[in-house]
Formats: sequence, C-alpha cells, structure tokens
Amino acid sequence: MVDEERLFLMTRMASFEENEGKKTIPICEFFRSDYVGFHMLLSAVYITVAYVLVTAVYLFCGMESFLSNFYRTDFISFGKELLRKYVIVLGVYVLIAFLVYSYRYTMAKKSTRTYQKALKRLSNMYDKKTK
Amino acid sequence: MTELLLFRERLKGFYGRFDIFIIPLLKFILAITAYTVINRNIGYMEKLDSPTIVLAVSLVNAVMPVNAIVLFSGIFIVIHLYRLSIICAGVILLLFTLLFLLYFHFAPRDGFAVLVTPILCTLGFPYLVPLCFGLTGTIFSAIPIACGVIVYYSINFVKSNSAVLQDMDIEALSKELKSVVDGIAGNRNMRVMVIALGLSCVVVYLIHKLSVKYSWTIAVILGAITELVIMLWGILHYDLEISTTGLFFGCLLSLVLALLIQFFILSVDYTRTEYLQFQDDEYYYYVKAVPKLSVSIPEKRVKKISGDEEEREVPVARKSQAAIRDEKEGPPVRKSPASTRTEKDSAVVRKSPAATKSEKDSAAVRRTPASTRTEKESGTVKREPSPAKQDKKT
Repeated sequence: MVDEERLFLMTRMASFEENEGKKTIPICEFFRSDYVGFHMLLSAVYITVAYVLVTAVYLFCGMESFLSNFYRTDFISFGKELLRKYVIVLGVYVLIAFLVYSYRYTMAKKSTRTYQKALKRLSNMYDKKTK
Repeated sequence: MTELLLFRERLKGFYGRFDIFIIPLLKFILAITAYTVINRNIGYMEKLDSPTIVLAVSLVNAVMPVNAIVLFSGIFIVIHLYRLSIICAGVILLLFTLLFLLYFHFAPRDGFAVLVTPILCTLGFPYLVPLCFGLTGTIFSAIPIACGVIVYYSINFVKSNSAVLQDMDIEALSKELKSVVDGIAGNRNMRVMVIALGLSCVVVYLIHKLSVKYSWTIAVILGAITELVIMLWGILHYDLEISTTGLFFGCLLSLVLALLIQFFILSVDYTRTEYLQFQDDEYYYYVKAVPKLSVSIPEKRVKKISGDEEEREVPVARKSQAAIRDEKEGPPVRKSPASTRTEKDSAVVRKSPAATKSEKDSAAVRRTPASTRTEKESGTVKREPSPAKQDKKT
C-alpha cells in the first residue's frame, strides 16, 4: 500500500535534487572552511597564471627597449616591483574569492535547510514504520 | 492588456508542456546564429566556413549546456584567426584564457552574456544586453558583458586590418604583437561602450532590487537612459565615429524589446513538466509533475437564430484549462497532507477541484511492485534516509 504522505515528501525532495539541489547539495557536503579555503587556493593559482601571462606579454611587447637597456637595468628592483604588484593583485583577488564563496556557501546552506528537514521527517517515517 | 496577459499564460502553458523540445531548439538557433556571425565576419578558414560543419556542430550543441556554445565559438574564432595570422590567434587565445582564469570560474553561467553581446553588437543593438542581464543576473554580470564587447571589438579590429595582419613578419614578432595589442586595447569606441554597457547593467540591477512598484520597468528605462547619456558623452568628448541617429534608435528599440522580454519572459515563473524517479523498500516510483495553469478560457456565448424560433443565447459553461485536461487525461492523484504542508513547499497539493485552483503542481503517479523490476528501474536513484548521510561530516 502506497503511503501518500511519504510519496509527496519524496516527490518534493526528488524535484529539489533534480533542480536547485544539483548545485547546493554538493556545496553543503563540505565544511565551510574547506569549501571556501579550497576555492581561495584555486583562485590564487588562477590569478598567478594570469599574472604570469600578462607580464610575459607586457615584456614581449617592450622587448626592443628592454634589450637595448639590458645592461643598465636594475633587475633586483625590477623583480621587487613585479613581486610587489603580484602580492597586491593576489591579495585583492583572493579577498574577492573569499567573499564570493562565503556568500555562496551561506546561500546553499539556506537553500538546503528545507531539504534537510524533509530528509529528517522521512527518516522518522521509516523508523516509525519499522517499529 | 487582458489579451497580452492571456497570451502570456498560454505561452507559459505551451512552454510547460513542450519545454523538452523548445530548449534544444533555442540552443540550436543560438549556436547556428553565433557560428554564422563568426563565419561571415572572419571566415578565413574555408573548411569551417561550410554550412555542413555549422549545422553539425549546432546540432551537437543543441543537446549540450549553453557554455559548450561559448567554448565552440571561441575555438571557431581562434582557428579562423590562425589561418589569417598566428600572432592574432595568439592574442585572442590569450584574451580568452584571461577571461576564463579571472572570471568564468566564479560565474560559469555568465558565459552566455559573452556569447550574446558580440552577436547583438554585430546586429546593431548591443544596448539590449545590459537591460536584460541586469534584471536576471547579478551586479557582476557587467563583467562578462564588458568581456563580450572586448571580444567584438577585437574581432572587428582583425577584420578591418586583415590585409596588414596577413603580411606580418614573424621575425619582428614583438613589434607586431605590440601593434595588435595597442590596436585592440587603444580603441576608444570599445572603452566608451564597455563603460556604457557596464554601468547600465549595474544601474538596472540596483534599481530592480528596490521594493517599489514597477521597479523592473523603471530599472529598464533608467538603464537605457544611462547607456544613451554615456554614449553621447563619449561621442562629444572623444569625437567617436558613431551615428547619433543610430544610437537613439538603437537605444529606443532595445528599450522596447527589453520591456517586452521583461513582460513575457523575465517576470513569469516558467515551471516545467518534471519527470522524477525514486524508490523505497517496496516500490519504484515514476512521477510526472505537470504545472497547473491559472488561466480560464473566455466565456463563449452561442446564439441560435432561426426563422421560427426566437433568438436565444445559450452560454457555454466556463471551464478552466485544468478541468479540460482532467477530462482528457483523468483526474490526477491528489492528497492534501495538511500537517506537513509549509509555505515554502513547491509541490503543495490540494483536495479541492482544479477549477478553483491557482498555481500548484499535480502529480500523475504510477507504481511498480518490486517483483516486476526491469533493467530500467534498477538504475533509479535510491532515496535512503540513512543516518549516515546526516553524519557524513563527522
């Protein structure tokens, strides 16, 4: 005999899993610190690669003047300047990543709250049935 | 106005029933438009500039996510430019790589804006993009729109300097690379357009979030005015080569289209028919959830006129769409578990007849006993509310 109450609960849960839950349920399987930390690390890698590419293109475009002034260039201060800019860019980008992914985690948690309650209710239904 | 509302509800019903065909068709049309625009402007590789290839790739894209169209469009552009000049291909590839690294891993959904913006720029009304994305996206949607403008102007630069770029000497690589980068980055039209569209998107987003009446309409109008003012400032300040008549008509047309899109598409919750399957210890469940419609057909009055009898009007009984559907398909299984109903539940079910409903889902349910299991059923998602799932984090 089909328990209609359980059926409708499972239908709503399945519908959530098929739509919004595809994004939010995997997020909620992590702890907040793990999820945000992982994406901050990934963002740091991306911005490092982007910075290297942009610097390479910039140096390549100014290759002629760079080569003509090669022996007069203070490479240490040039390297320090590049590193300083990299640290600033990295800091800003990782901060933006922290804010964005923290917000996403909070929203995902809110979204799955009803789903978690429904899951608990379904579990109670099964427990009652086995008793 | 009533006719428009009725038409919108019918559109909603049509989409709810046939979305499984409509979405792939729309993706197919978008893909074929994108590749045709690319081939028309920078079709230097003859093999790619063939209707067969375009059709085949578009058919494949129809069943893939929208971002696949963005990816394939990028590949098309790079291959065409490689045929023209390896330096151009390298610069454009670098541009796409930077876009991906800096933004798309944050918001992969916004790839659609990068695809649509250059297409609409080519068609002559790019001003529509921020008005729509400001309503549907976030404040950061201004970034992919700006990226789309940069992609459009980069392709435009290559197209207008193709003769010079084709004869570039690979030995003077750094000089030529500098000329391409300066040509793209130094384009004043591009800078003003990026500012205009980006700011317009931000204005539309901020205003539509306000809790005032008609906030969406006000947002669209103010967004269009923002674009117009910034473009006019650019034309006066930088002496840009943009026609003011074209600008006015473009903004006006974009405003009208944005208001129509907002009325028919963006302000409507287009719920779709859902096909769900799950199982418990006793049964496999195959559930079809069909969204209900809230429109009722206008009353028809039938006049019978004959020579002998008097005129009499026989009003036809008013029926709702759901009642008509019930007659055709049979009433759906319905129960109202009042004790478990909450305001947030998306599939609330009622005991009352469909003629008096508003917007709920009805579920037609079939069940199969476990003893008659088939190969298909063995692949269903099992819903076991095990305590282990809740203790997963520990």
